[in-house]
This record gives sequence, C-alpha cells and structure tokens, in this order.
Amino acid sequence: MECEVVRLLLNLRPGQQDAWTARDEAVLDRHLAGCTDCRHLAQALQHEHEVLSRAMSDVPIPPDLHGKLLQTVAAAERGYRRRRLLWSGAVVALAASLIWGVMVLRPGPATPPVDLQFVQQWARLRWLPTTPATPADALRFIREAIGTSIPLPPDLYHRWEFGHLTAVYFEFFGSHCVPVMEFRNQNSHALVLLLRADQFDPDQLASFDSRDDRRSGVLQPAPGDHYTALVLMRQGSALDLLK
Amino acid sequence: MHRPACTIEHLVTSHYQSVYRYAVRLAGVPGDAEDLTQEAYRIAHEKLHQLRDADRARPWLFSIVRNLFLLAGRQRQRGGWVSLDDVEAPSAPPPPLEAVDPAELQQALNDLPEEFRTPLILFYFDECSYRDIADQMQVPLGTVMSRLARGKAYLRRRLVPLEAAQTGTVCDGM
Repeated sequence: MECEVVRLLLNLRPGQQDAWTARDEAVLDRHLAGCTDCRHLAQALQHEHEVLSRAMSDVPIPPDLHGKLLQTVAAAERGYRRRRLLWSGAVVALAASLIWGVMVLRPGPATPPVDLQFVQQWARLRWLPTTPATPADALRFIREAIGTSIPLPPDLYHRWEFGHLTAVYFEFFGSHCVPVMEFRNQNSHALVLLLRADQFDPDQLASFDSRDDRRSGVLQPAPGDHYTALVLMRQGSALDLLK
Repeated sequence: MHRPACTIEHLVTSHYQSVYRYAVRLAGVPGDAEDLTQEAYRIAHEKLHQLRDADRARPWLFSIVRNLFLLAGRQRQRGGWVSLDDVEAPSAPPPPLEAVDPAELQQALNDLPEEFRTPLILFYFDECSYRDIADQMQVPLGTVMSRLARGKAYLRRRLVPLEAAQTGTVCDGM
C-alpha cells in the first residue's frame, strides 16, 4: 500500500469504526509497522483526536441543571395529565350528550300494560301496611284524592312504586272499614275501594260518586270472600290503566 | 400508542450532562444551551412514545437539540462564517496539541457554519462514526467525510498558532 493512500486512510480512520473490518485494520497496521513517517502521522493524529475529544467534553455542568430539568419534565407531565383529563371530560360530556339526546329525542316506549288480573288480585288482598303514615297524612290524602267528606279517621297508610304505576293503600277503621288502593300511571288514575261485602253500603258509594270521580264499575264481586272491589276512575278509563 | 422505551426521568438523569454539553458546543453560549436543553427535554417528554429503543436515546435527544437550534435560527443570527475552502488534510504529522483551551475551542466552533460545526461536535464529543453523523444530519456519508476533513483541518489551524502562522490566517466570510 502506498504511503499516500495510507495517509488518506489515517485521516479517515477514527470515524470508520463501524465500517472498517479487522482485515482493513490489519493491512493498515502492517504498513505502519514498516513505515516510520506514516507511523508518526498515525500517532500524531491519534493524539490530536484524544486531545480534541477531551476538550470538546470539557464543559462545566450547572449544579442546579438536573433539578431544573426534573422540574421541567414534571411540569410537562402535569400539563399532559391536565390536557388528558380535559379531553377525557370532553369525551365523556359528548358521550353523555349523545346518550341524553338519543333517550330524549327518540320516541318514548309504550306504557307497559297493567294486567287487569294483577289489579284485581291486589284489590282482593288485604295487606297489613308496614309503613304507617300519620293519621293526618292519610286523612289529607283521602280528602285530596277522593275528596270524601266522610269523617273517618285514617289509621294506616302505605305506598308502593311499581315503575310507572303507583299504588297506595290506606285503611281506616270506622263503621264501614274501607281499605283503598290507588293506581296511577301516565294515562289514568284509578282508585280501588275494597268494601266489606257485609257492610256494603250503596249510600257510601253514592257519596264517592257524588264527586268528580267516574265510577267505571265493580271489577269483581268476590263472592267467596268478604270483600268486593270498586274502581273509581279519576282520570282516563280502566282501559287506559291497562295500556 | 407505542409504549415508551424508558421514562423521561431516566432520560434526564442518564443523559442530561451530555445533552447540555452538546447544546453548549452547538449554541456557543451556556445560557442558550440551558434553554435548549430544557426545551429539548420538554419535547422529549411529549414525543417519548416515538423512542422505541432506549439505546438510541442519546442520538435521539441530540437530534431534538439540533432541530430546536436550527428552528430558532440561532446560527443565522451570528453570520460571518469562516471559509474552509483552503484547508487540507495533513500529509505530514501535525504540530502536537498538548492542551486545548475549551473557550478557544468554543470560539473556533462558533465561527463555523452549523453544517461543519455539528459533525465536529458529534465526532469528537460523542465519538460518532461517519455513518451515525450522516444519519443524524440526514446527509450523504461522503458529505460528512468531506465536512469533517475540512473541519478538522480548520480546528488544527485555529488551535495551533504556529501552524496557523505558517499556513496563513483564516479569512472571514464564506
């Protein structure tokens, strides 16, 4: 290998660590072993490379730089989390708006029908309420819902929610012993009166009928027990109650 | 999104000294270098998912620093670069460099255009190969070799006064 080529290679040598093979290095080293001028050049270039490498790295580091950088990335992380939270909130709000829109704007589901047998069965039962209201509450309800002026003191009162249907039971003891069930849904408002058959008093019914209630009829006379049922429709009709 | 190869705190602790030194050599002013380093780590945090190999973290951070430097146009503000048209690689042993004043080295680097300064910094400071420098600067390998040869000869002239006196002064302006 000629010295001119070797000198060229020596100038390129430090940056070729990932391109030169061991064979390339061996060829170069063989020439350097036998050529003093090229060997001196190689040593001078190597020395120069080491000095410049050291000088290039000789930069004092500010003592607080590490802490500042950790603060910078911590602040960036907080900003990132805040943006992510805002985006998540926006996505949730958008989803909620869509769901709300779908639920509000879509056609409402048909009111589930009430099984007439269900009403009849309830009307025939005689519950013992577990949540008594005050007599004043029951009396107020009697007056507002039924509008009766019969001064019967209410003793027990209970209310159930069955989805779209509200049932209220109250019982007051007096000369007639009248338990009452109230059913409400979107279409109708019915009062079911359970009357003691043996104390059935047409005048009492007449007193109910005398108000705005519209008697739709006696559902079932219940000949086998002591009660019969009367449905007074305050709104809609018995058919509406079934829709 | 790709899972990050390491945490940003790890990148800070492992590489902040190298990143800062590289920024100083590139920007020439410690104050600018500190700003560059902070901004580089802020961007690194933002783009951490793009780092797929933790072993490549250092060149990745260096490339962010350089892009920020170029984006800020700082190298254009200074102007008045030296010309490297008349420098040549040595055919005889160069005068020995016993020691180099870091400030003098920095001034010599500051007088170079960025396209010559960056390969010199990567070559001496980070021990990068020509291929690594070419990849990082996105220039052909031959361009890197040419720029480095001229840059090294220029440093030799600037940092060895006797040699500079013998070969003539470096002229200002491209």
